[in-house]
Amino acid sequence: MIMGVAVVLGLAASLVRHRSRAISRIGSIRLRWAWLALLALAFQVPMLRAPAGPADRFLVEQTLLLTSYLLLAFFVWCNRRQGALLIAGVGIICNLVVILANQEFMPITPQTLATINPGSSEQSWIEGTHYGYSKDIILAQENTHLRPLSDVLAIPPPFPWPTAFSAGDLILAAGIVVLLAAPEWIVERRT
Amino acid sequence: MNSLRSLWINLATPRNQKVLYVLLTLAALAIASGAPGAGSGTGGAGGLSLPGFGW
Repeated sequence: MIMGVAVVLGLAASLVRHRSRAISRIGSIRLRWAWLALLALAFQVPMLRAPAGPADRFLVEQTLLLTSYLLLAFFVWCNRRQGALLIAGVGIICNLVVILANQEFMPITPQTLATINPGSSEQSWIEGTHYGYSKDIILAQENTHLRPLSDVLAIPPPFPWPTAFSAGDLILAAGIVVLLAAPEWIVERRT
Repeated sequence: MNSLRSLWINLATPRNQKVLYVLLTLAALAIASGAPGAGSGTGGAGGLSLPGFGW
């Protein structure tokens, strides 16, 4: 959800900043190997459609998830001339590192889940299981490696779409907003 | 049908197609690299220990 907000926010900021030139400005962004981002998303579909269950049952989904992050990293590398995409790349690397350190899932604590799921308690969430229809695994704080980079940030109710996200997500979102809204001399580095 | 065709001719300019392409790519990048599932509604009951929910 927060990532969708980033794209909409970047679009809105671009419209405010560049006014009538906003569409031309976005159209002038040169992205190489863009299909890699779409392919990476396709690779994540099995994991995002997987219901909750013991974490060791998702070997294929985890392999595809890691492959998708490598594709995304390669996409960013191919577009490193776009300075803003380098910011997004830092976010991707942050998420990838914490996933690699935690059984190839993004860790989330029962406390965070109770925060974003009204009506549930911390005891409702079974540690070590995949949090259904996401990339997350439920892990207690003390069992989470690189906890500051995990899904520790949350927007609780009454926000209509309570959500948890990571620092990497925030950095990535910032990169997308900058790419869409910042002046071209910031977005595109001289080579 | 004619109005649809004229709409397509007016709106689907190469520039607009490029803009759509860029936005689609960025949306894919955002969704693929972020964590859209946790609590976003799609996974609302994921992992919840419900009675009779045994593995």
